[in-house]
Amino acid sequence: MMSVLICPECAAENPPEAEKCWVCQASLAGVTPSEEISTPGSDSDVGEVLPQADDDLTGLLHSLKQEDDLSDFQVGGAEDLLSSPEETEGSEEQEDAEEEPELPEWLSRIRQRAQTEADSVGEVTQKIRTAYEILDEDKKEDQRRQFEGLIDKIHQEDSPQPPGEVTPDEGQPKESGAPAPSDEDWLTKIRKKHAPLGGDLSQDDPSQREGDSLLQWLVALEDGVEETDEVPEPSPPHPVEDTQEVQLSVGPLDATQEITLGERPLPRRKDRELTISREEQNRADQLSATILDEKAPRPVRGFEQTALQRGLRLVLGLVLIAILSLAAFYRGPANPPTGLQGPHTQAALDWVESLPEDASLLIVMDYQSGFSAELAQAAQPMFEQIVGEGRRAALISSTPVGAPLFYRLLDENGWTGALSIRDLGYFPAESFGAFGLAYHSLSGWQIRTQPAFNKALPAESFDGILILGDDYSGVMAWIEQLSTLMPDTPIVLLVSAQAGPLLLPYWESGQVEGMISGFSEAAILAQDGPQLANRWRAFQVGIVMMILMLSIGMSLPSREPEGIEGQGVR
Amino acid sequence: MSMQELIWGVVGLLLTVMVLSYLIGDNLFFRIAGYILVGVTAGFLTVLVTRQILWPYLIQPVAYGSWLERLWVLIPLVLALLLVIGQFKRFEGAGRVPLAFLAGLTAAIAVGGSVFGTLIPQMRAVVDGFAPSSWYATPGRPWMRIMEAVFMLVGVLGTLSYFHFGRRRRQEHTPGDEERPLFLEVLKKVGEIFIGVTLGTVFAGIFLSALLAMIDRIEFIGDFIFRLLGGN
Repeated sequence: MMSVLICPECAAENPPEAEKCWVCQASLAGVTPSEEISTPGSDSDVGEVLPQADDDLTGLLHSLKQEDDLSDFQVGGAEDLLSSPEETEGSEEQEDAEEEPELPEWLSRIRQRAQTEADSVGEVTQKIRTAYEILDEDKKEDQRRQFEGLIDKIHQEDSPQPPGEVTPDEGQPKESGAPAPSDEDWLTKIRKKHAPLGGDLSQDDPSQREGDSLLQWLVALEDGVEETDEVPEPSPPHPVEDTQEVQLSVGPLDATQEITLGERPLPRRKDRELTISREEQNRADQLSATILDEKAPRPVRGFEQTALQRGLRLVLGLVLIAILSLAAFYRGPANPPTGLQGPHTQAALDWVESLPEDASLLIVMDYQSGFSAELAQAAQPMFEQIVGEGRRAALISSTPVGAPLFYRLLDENGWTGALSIRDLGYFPAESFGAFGLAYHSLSGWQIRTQPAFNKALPAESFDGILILGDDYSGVMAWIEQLSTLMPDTPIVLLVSAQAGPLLLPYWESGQVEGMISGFSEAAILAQDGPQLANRWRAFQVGIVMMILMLSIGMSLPSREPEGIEGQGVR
Repeated sequence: MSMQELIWGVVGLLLTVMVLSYLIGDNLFFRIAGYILVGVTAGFLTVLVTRQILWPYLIQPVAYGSWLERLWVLIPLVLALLLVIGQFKRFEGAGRVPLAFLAGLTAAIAVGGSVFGTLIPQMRAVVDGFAPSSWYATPGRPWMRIMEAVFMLVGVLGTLSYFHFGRRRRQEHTPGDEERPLFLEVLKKVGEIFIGVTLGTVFAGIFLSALLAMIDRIEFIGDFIFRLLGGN
């Protein structure tokens, strides 16, 4: 055997005359020469066992293991290794018996018999023992394979060449005592990675540095320290760091070494049984579909229409306007319906006819300009009964244009001056206005120093409240507040056709005295006149036209514009 | 026709035609009409609020009122100032005070009105339909009143069942747990019918209101042109 110098830094073998390590350039001064690690036929044996070259780490470990076994073989004798497990165990027990002279005689006889007779401990016991030994051997073999696989992974990462590709160095036989530089680079990288910042690797004391357990383990093996086959499984990787901490139990030199792994092993998690209902599964599927749909790329939906669509809409619109114009200006006979008013309409008429001569009314204006034609038509039969000498009205608006629309209504019908009007102003919020008005009129006490706006509200009660509204929510707010705080004051509604159906329950419950909704009910109450007749005719024609258009539109197949497929949750 | 009527008639005619030009699609004239509407509405609202709210209820008491009136007005004035200060990012916390005051007050009034002005009276109306006195209150067929009360009760229960999404919580899931009881499913289907009829009625009402607005505009244009040409 040839003497070599083992580098204390990287454990590389160097010629005896070398002053520095050829791998890590560490000083070899003071290093005692030692014999080169070689076993009989090691090159060929390792090459047969492992597919890699004999100069890689696995081969090195394997050769070290074989050398260790060989030394055990030489010390313990070949008969120990070749003997059966029972005999080996028997020899150990014999040694224990020699160390324990106080054993009773019967136990000594049993042990002697067990050593000499194969079936002394019973057939079952022998089978159990054999099974344990087989399991133990399998376990050791499995752990060894895992460790070799781990080392192979480290090695593959260190030399990132595709598997199966043979480098020129690997293809040639390695010279003894001169391993290729790439074989030790992985260890150097690991050490550099975990070395202190700014520290000089060659200047550090190897025994004081953490993370050198592998090197120390190799040195310890070389010095004859018994290795431990137990290699625990790697712990689950940290979710953030790119390194995995692998704890290697290496006999007396237990340490933790942090090894960078390119490929994280999948954490082993025990599958937990999840029980969900069908509805929960459907919701989860729906949520997944929604998320996927939201993330799906789709073009921006444009409002561009084809020329055919624009033309069709233009033609239909012009046809509708033309037919309505003909119906509105045709001077033919028209018969507005009479005598078909509903009970709520009749109740409104009854209320207005029962008003006293000096009635005081509160008129609430809560509609926009677009509904002025419809509301004016609905208010006409009522105001014809209301206006008169001695009648007073307080006007309050919850829309900005409420007061102008009311004065326009009076002006168009020639009622200006026929009614004493007191304008209470504009109340932006219906609920606040109704609550403040009702509470103020009912409160028996007043604060003398309160500002003028509270004093401006009428404190007296009204003979009736007339609400003109186009929207359900606004009128409902007035009804809720006034019917609660002023339950004795009758409320009459003059509302649009779109608000009427939703406000009818308030008449059913008795909170509202009467109601006129829309042009249909107003036309029944209105007196005959040419304008009403023409408008009624156009109204009927328009209804028929809209029914036809809706029917045609529903019968046509809907065509989804291109580019919006997948929109929405299906 | 006076000059004033002519000017405002022309303005009204042009604006109406500009809005109706949407029939050929979104165009410049329709947008101009929309801008005019928004601008005029905002300007009118500003003048209205200043004249009918700020001046009589805030500025006038502060300027001409007594010290006690000024103290009263100080409360909304401070709240308004906090709301303005809250628009600055550094003092955005100050704006939460008036908003909290407003939200709390609105909720209190709205909840009180909904409970005492809608829920309780409507429930009472449903129950009163089954009172025998109401069946004979007016001349007619009492069984029609009874049927009407039953119909109303079924409609109310069906509509409420439609919006019932509760489930009984159980530790172990078994097939069929996610299904609601059969009577709730039946009532839900009945409620769907009532809700559908209601929404259809509202839709028809919106159509009728829009139709009458259109007829009114057509009449306005026709009358204006007729008067412009010398008709009476």
